[in-house]
Amino acid sequence: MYKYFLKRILQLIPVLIGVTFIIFFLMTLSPGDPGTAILGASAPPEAIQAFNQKVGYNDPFLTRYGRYMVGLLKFDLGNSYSSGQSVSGEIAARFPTTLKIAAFGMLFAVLVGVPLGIFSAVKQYSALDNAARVISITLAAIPFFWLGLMMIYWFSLKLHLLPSFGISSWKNFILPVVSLGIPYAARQMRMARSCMLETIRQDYVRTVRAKGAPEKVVIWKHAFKNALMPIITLIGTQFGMLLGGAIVTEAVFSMPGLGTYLITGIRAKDVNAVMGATIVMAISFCLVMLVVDLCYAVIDPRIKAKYAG
Amino acid sequence: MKKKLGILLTLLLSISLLVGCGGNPASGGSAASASAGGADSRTLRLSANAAYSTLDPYATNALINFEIWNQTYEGLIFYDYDKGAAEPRIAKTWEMSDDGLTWTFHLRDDVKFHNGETLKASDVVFSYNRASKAGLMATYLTGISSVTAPDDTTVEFKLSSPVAPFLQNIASLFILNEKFVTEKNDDLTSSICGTGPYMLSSADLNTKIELTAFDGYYRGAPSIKTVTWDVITDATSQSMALEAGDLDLLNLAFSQYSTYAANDKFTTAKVPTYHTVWVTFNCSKAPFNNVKLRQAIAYLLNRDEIVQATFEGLGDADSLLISPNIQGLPDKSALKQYTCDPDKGLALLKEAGYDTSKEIDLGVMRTYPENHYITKACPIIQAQLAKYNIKLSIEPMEVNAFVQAIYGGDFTIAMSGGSYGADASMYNQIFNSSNIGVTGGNCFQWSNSEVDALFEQGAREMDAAKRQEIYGKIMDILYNEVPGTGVGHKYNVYAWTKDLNATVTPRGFFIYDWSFAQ
Repeated sequence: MYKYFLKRILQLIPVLIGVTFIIFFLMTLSPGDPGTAILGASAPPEAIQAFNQKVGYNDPFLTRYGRYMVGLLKFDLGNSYSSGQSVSGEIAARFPTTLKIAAFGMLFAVLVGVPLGIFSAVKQYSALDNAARVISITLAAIPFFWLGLMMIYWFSLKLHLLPSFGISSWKNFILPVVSLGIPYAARQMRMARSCMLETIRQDYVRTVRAKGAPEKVVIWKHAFKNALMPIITLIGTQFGMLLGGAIVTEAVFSMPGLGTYLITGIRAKDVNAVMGATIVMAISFCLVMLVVDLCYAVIDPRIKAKYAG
Repeated sequence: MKKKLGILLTLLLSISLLVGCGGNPASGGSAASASAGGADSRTLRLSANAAYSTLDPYATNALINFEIWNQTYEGLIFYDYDKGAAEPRIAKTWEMSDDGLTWTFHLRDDVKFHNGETLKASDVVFSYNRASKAGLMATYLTGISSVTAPDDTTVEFKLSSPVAPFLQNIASLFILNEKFVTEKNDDLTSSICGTGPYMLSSADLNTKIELTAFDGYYRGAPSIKTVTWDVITDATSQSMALEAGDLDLLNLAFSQYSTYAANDKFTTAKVPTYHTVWVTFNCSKAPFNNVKLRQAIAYLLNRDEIVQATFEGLGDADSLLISPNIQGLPDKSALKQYTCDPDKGLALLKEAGYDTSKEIDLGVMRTYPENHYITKACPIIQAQLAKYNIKLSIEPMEVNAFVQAIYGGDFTIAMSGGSYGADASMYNQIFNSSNIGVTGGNCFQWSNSEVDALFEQGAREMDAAKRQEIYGKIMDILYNEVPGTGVGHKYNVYAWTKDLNATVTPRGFFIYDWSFAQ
């Protein structure tokens, strides 16, 4: 079991090498240079050239890539071109915000979506099921920024209940988490519903019912656990993507997270910032997927047996 | 086995959540509360539309940074562009030698920095030396060959040739405290120590900057005691924050102006800028290497319509490539301009060799949508030219790609614009033939040795009337040669709460003079 865990952690290394090379390559290939992007096109040309020289942008590709990878081995993500500050410091300041939004957003989505989906599946074709299906399609299709702006409009502007920007208190997180959680909850609901429906139709469920087990035990002890696998996969992938920064939510609510850092870095051709942010995202995503795989082992005895063996 | 795994997983998941739950940064009160307290203790709440990259005054020229620096730093003098004269600040008097090559400033002896240090002339020398190493400051320090401090209250600048806008330039050199900068190891990313009326009390470059009044300011403490800038990246969110009462003043988008102008709770202001939007021609290759074609287009454009679409009417429409607000130019009425004259335009088209009875395809106009208002002009121009059977397609590009294309000459016609400073001499950067092919330089790929010479003369000519003549000649050449044709100059529009007494100038604003109504 632990060998498997260790093997998965070691697999991070080739992933990181691949990711860093591709991103570095793309950043070099894309038009423009950091001097122009950061200082602006109306800045004096000498200033732009001096800037590019200072950040080492004029050196050949492999030299720069080699330099970066050597730094990476020492856990040094370099300094951001725009601010001159250490990239790891800037990311460390922003990652908790993104993590909070992602974690609580997913928590909201799961707590609201999954039970609704299961209930919908169990009481299929009831009025509640039909209503839930229609609402979930609508909510899954709503753009985040519209929902976010509408919530600011009602809860900040009209009702003065919650703040509209910043991260100064826990109240600041309510609107972003809910506006992000609702569309994700809708998707969770649909996934939970379809998985549950499929499982309920299985023969073994009919057997358990025939044995005389109470409905609650049938649903929660037997059917639910089997339906759980795809749901967990979805949770894992969505959470992993959210850790990359819910960019639109961060922009609408002005929360300084990883997503806005990445976008600003791309626009400014700040290679170190983009690399740092992408690496953090890649590692987070791999770790989340690892946890998802381990969850499978917990839930499904068949998979656990494979690991133990 | 199952139990161990379960515990391990639970541990991992809860750690990941707890890490997120770590202490919230305690910065200021909740944003939802309106400012309480009497007018004296009321905080002025502003916002920035992007996170700050640094607070170092020589490292960036982002507009959001100038809002902060204008309150915390000062130059030797303050240049009042309306009056066309310098006002004393750190320097109480100054004089220029007869040959124009030496400027001597006599400093006050009671200027204090925010850290309590008294300002000495050596601080000015230190600031100059530091600025001369920073590429961005080069235009302000042009012509200076050395700076010395004969004693604690005298600074001497020696120039290699006379510089006409010297006072305007030197006003942009913010004076730093040598001791403070040395203690900080030359890292001014998140600290400020200047001589201005406000000092930095807290700085989180991603979320919030807070300034408090500096009691030791030599002109007396300001009326408003605390100022904050919150970073709100989305324009709609900014607007909602202003309406909800979480902000006191906002730089508006053009579309928001009419809503606020009609709202009694707010005062609005339209402030002219030095910005120009122009149609850029590539004068080095076909088809726009033909000057008659360029002149024809200049006559065919209806600039009022373009300004209406681009700035929602919040701008001045004219064909001038340099904004008439800029110092050094003759009065606007004395400048030759293109008006919308289709007859002349079509006649010139024929002279240029085009058959106006058939469709004329002028190729692709490049622009970058990130600058939304400039890009809005493109379909308007396309439609206007279509009326004369001229076909123009539009190609939006990503900003970095656009910059590379336009300065590399990889275009025939493009829509762009910019602002290069408040004095006409700064426009040498985009019209000088030596800057062709240089990023940030001569995007028109246009070479005119007479203009090059005139710019050089203008930079040295100390007599204001003669200077105006020189720049008037430059504007004439620009009118005749049409390397580009101006479309209009935008205003900056602001809205603020009724109980704030504020003024905004084209050079920004100075909160020192503001106050809240009692």
